[in-house]
Amino acid sequence: MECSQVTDLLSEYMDDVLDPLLKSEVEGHLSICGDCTEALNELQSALEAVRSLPPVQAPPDFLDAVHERIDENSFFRRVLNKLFRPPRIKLPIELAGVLASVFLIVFLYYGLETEVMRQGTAPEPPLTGRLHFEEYKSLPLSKGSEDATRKPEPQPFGGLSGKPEVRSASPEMAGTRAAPPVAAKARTIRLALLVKPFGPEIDTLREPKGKASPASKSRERERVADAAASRKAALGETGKAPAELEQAAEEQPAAASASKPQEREDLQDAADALAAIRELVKQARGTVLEVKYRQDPRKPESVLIQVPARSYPFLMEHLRRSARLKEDSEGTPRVPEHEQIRLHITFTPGE
Amino acid sequence: MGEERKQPGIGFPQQEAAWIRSFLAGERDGFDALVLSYKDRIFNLCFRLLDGDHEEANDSAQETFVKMYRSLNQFRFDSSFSTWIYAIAVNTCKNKLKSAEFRNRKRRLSLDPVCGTGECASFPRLEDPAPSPLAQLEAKERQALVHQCIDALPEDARELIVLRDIEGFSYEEITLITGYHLGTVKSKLARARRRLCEALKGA
Repeated sequence: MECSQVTDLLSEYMDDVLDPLLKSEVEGHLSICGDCTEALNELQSALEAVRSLPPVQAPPDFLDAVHERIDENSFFRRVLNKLFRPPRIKLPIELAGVLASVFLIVFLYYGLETEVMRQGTAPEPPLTGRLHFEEYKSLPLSKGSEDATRKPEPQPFGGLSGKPEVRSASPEMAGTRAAPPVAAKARTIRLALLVKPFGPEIDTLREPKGKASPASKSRERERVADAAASRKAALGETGKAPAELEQAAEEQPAAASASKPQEREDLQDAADALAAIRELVKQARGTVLEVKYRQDPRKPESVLIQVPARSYPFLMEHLRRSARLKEDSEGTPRVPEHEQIRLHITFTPGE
Repeated sequence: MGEERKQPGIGFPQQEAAWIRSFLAGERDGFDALVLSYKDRIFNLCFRLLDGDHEEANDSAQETFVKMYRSLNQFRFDSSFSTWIYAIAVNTCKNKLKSAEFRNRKRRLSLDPVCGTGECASFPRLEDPAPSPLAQLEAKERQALVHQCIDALPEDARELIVLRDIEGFSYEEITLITGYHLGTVKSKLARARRRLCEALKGA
């Protein structure tokens, strides 16, 4: 074995980890080689110096420092540090927060707007004035509203204490179109309220169609005239012409009229109906916007009212209960409760 | 020629296993017992591996036990706890040696004025039982010289010298700690010892 080989094995020889064969060969070489023996001695003295180094001890507060460090580096703090300490991570988190806020605002805004549109403006065609007019004209009772001012058709009338009747003017509309969408600011619901026929010409206009005998007519006129005279006497309206008395008498329903239908005995006077409507509007916390008259304050032609949407069902219920109505449709229009609904009620002489 | 090895860091495996199970059961006393049992040896290892920097050794030793605290639930009881904790300490010190912060600190300390004996001011006071002050001074000089020679070794050579000749681990244990093969440990250790011997001879 040569010296270089022995030098390489000296470390393991010192640690006594060589196999016995190699160990005996190294020992044989060391017994005859002074250089290798000196190298072994130097190595041993060097390792003795290393092993003689005194151990260094940890500081006395080492355990406390470790505990403090563990608490500092708790899982929660490490997560927080990872999330917030590096600036490049901090910005995306703030940006994500801003984006989430914007998304929420946009979602809420468009969600509410869509809901309002769905309730306020349905996709079906709106009830325009023209459509309303045509449907209105097509109704059997519609002509009265327009012609009543000029040519009130003579109609039999009911008793003085008659109760108006609610009648749906367009059952086909009610059947096919439930609760038309109404935009509170642009839409006005039009109604026709059947009232007692106006004017003195009722009788004369009705006369050609009348089937009663002249004798019965004259008896009826006499009774009516007597009733009118007594009424005017009670009101203090004296000195009127007999013709006016007769006109007033014509306005009073003849209780004994056997020829008029039973359901028309309940028609209400237009002025009384207007007063009732005013009272209803007041109860509904609404407003009477406009009243049109037929040249006489006692003969209202139409009234335009505005009520809160939440009061609309209440108003309509009372109107239907206390009067005969022609309605475009049935049901409550889909209008948000905080908005207003306008109703244009025309006082139409009943048939 | 007999092998004069220090008792390696292997304490009492049964007791250590009991401490570990106690810690895993939620009691911190087990962890404290492990720290108190190993803190000086781990600190000494870090001190030797980190060029005798007391502050850095303290930091790395603490970091070693913090890592142990977090990963003790991954410890397998079929292996030695001492080699497991030493492996953590060696890797921690390796990372410290590679860090720019440590290099800058080392560069700054090398510019500091040294004491008359050549020992760095950051070195701790070494105890020597020698009675005479002259003998103490000689012993300190020699220890400082040995330490400088160890510090002058390459990182892997220093690591093997410390593990084998200071901490007293066997070759097999060193393979477990460092991850080297047995033959690599033998050859590297022989080379490291020769270099250390030459360095001491030259000094």
